[in-house]
Amino acid sequence: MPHEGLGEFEQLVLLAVVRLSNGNSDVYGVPIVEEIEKRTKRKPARAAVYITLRRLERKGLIASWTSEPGDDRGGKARHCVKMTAAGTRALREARWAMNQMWTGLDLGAGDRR
Amino acid sequence: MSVVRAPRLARRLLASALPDDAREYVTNELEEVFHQRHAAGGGLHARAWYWREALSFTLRFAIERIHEHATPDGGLALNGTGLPGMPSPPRRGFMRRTLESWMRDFTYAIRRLLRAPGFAFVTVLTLALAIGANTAIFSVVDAVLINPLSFPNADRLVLIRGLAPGTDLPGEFALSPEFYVSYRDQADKLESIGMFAGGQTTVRSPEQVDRLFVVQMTSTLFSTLGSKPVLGRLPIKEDDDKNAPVMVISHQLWRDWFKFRPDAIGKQLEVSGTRRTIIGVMAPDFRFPNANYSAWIRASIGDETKIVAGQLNFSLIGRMKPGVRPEDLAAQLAPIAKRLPERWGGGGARYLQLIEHHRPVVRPLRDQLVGEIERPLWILLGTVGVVLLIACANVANLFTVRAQGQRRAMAVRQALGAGRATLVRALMSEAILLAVLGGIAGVLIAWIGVPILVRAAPEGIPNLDNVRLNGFALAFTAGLSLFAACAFGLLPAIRLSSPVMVDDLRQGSRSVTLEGRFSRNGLVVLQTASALVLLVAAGLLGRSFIAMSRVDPGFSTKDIFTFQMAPQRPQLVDGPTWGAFHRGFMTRLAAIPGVQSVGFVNELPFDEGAGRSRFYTDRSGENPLGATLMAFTYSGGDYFKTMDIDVVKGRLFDQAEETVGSSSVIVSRAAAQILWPEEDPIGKRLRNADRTSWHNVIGVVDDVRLQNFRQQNPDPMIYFPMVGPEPRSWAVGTPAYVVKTPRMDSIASEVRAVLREYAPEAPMYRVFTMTQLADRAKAQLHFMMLLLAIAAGLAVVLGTVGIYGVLSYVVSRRTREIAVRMALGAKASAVRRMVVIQGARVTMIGVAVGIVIALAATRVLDTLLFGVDAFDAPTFAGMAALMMLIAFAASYIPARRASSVDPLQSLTIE
Repeated sequence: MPHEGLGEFEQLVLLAVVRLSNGNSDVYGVPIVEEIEKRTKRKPARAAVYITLRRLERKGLIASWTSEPGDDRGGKARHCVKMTAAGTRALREARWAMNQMWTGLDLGAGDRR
Repeated sequence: MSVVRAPRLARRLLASALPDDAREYVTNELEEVFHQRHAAGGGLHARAWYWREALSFTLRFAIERIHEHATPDGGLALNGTGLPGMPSPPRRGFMRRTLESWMRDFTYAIRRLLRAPGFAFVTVLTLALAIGANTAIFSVVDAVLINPLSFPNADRLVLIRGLAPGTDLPGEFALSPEFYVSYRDQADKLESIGMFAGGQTTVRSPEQVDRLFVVQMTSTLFSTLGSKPVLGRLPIKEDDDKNAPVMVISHQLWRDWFKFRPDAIGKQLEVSGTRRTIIGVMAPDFRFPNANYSAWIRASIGDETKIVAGQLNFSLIGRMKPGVRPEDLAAQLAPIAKRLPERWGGGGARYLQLIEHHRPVVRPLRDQLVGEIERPLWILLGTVGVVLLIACANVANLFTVRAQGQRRAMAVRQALGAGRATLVRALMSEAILLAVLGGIAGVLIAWIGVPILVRAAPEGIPNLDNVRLNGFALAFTAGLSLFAACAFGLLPAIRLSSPVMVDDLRQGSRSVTLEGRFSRNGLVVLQTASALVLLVAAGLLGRSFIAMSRVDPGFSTKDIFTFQMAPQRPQLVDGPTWGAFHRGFMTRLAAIPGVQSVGFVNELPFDEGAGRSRFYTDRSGENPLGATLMAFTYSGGDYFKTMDIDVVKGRLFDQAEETVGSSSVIVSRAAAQILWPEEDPIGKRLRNADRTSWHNVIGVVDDVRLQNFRQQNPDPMIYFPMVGPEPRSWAVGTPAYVVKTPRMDSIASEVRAVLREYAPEAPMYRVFTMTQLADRAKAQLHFMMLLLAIAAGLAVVLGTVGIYGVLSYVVSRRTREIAVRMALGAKASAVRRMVVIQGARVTMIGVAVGIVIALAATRVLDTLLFGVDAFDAPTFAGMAALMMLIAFAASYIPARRASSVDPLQSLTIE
């Protein structure tokens, strides 16, 4: 399926999914929002994250399943996600495109907050 | 596990906004974070957070759904496979599809309008002004004309009066107790009937004293009106049988004097010197005969067999049986009245003459109340309606011009297969959106404007205190907005979406299409004509106002302060004692620094009018049929000097005869003319037919207008001195004092101080300056003139914007043509002339149409006009010229722009 490149926010969300998947807890909306917040120091709109997740899933870049209802949250299920092969490919392409554009440029260290 | 849950309403909102497949997990996960936050930061914090998130999710998911719907593969991918060639998801219901496509159109409309903020602002402002004005006036019309009465089945309430053409009774007159009893007993078309008379009188409690408007009434009045008290009871038949001195008070009096204490019931008040017991309190919306009245006292006719016929001082109010029309009732009452002398006898020759010519007048109570104001209000509503029409025409114009700019986009969409309905909807959504915004802003304007309008309104408009933006007015506004949307959205939408539009794409057409020009010019004609009609109307009222301001009422209104007071002391028993009291008071008033003269009159012009009676003269003799009906009053002190009423002949009352009493009398010029035509009135004699004493004319004074400035001829007047020939002839109790002083700003408090010292028990009331009374007499015309001037101004501004807009547009479309002309040698002045003439031609047609409409329309103003004809040629010509001038100015700016076209540049751009 042909698709356009990933948007910046989509990349953020996908990268958060990848980072969280290395741990052993559930990967779903709540920790994804926290992860983006923690690393970028930006506060993403929670609704935007959920909508992006739906969009990524529709594009086939992530897959989802419903977790077993755990005791820790009153027996309610979570909407867990993981990266698909297509997702990995899309991230790689995005990084490649970015690198191509950055190669040879120097804008200085900048003012990272 | 915590039992705390997120806010219910927010949860509901969220659940309704989320798509089916996301609803459960999103709410679950949000709930999870809510609990964490609840535990960490407290309930209030967590709730606020949850609400914020719920709103954010609702909004973002709504937009996301529109996106999903708009992207063609979005729906397909939703079936979960993501594979092409799978069957599309089942078609959703018609309603939902329509709703969603409207939603999409509105989203696009918002985006488009955000990109054209100037257009959106002008459109919304134009509509808001027009809708605001309409809603405000409609709120007034609704309260005053549509629902002026708070009584149940008020359409069956009628006022019964009499008319006796062929006698000297002026117009309609009040009736007397024998009419009441006979109508009550014999008219079976009446369900019930009540009799009343009202006036201002002194009311005292142990703590308070004031002059209040009080109604004397039969106990049947309340049952006829169908009103109930909020506290206590109403007078009943037993009160009549016992002749109990009972009264009912208004809600306002209950508040002001009794602070809403329920023990007001049973308390006693002294009304006109008689102690009466309060038995009931009426509801706040009970106003009868109008909002000024604060007490209703039960009066009895006494022994019904001993009524003296002919005391024409009472109003009769009847409740007709269902289905009876006023004219039916009048037909039944007529023969009953003819038989009155048989039953009651007496009355004399005059009375028999009156009965012979008598015709009953039965008028709905509502008409009686709103009579004078009805037409002006409808005129105002019509006026703001015209403004709305102009505003819609303007916005339609703006829309057409704007839509022309989107022709290509439309044509492309059409070529790609968009149906006509889709295109119309896309264009209409913008119109509806602007109309709704205009409506909201309009309600805001009306909300601000209504209180201002009510404050500026002249006195005597019933139910004005109940004017507010109600649901009815809001519904009216909603209707107006929708009407506006259709008026300015649908036409351009339909035209632009027509199939021939596709040709545009091929031709890249730049010409001004004939059809478009036609409708645009039509709109300008409509605007010019409407604006001119309002201009002419405002002009006519303005001229009337000027004419009225030039009328000499016969007295001066400058630097005159007036008031009344009501003393109460046992020694005031007859003419001389009252006279000495007034004289003492006037001496003290005259001692106030700056006071030039002081006098009094029993009824002040422009305020209370004057009493009327029949007079014999030595010429007419004492034949009742030869007596002349004439206005009369009593004057004292330097009344004529203070009011600057000229002495034409003879002399005024002197101080000596004022104190001891005299049989002198002064007549006005017109009265002298009527009573003794062609003769010298000095030394002639006259007698009030109701009294026994004869009076000698000692002087003639100039005529004054008693009622208002509109009076064609001043009333003939007879002035008696404050003390009559006998001590018991009459006593002037509560006259209107007039004080001439240049120190208007401080006089009221100084007079109050003098009164507190001289007669501390006397309330002071009807405090005015003569200027205020004169302004009040012009108030209705002034109010109408002001409102029409505002409406006309609004119409002219909107009309000018319209002309300017159309010509600017035409110039911009013809830039290339103009450039070619100029390249071929046309002079700038010729180009300017071309554009101005084009504007002038359209305006001229508009002016012609406007004059024709105005000729037909200004006739409705005739009762308001004064000293000027409804077809006044100078006003018509002047306003037409003004309109042309404004149109010229409006077309000159685009003309300048056209003539400054640089041919080279505009041709190479192409």
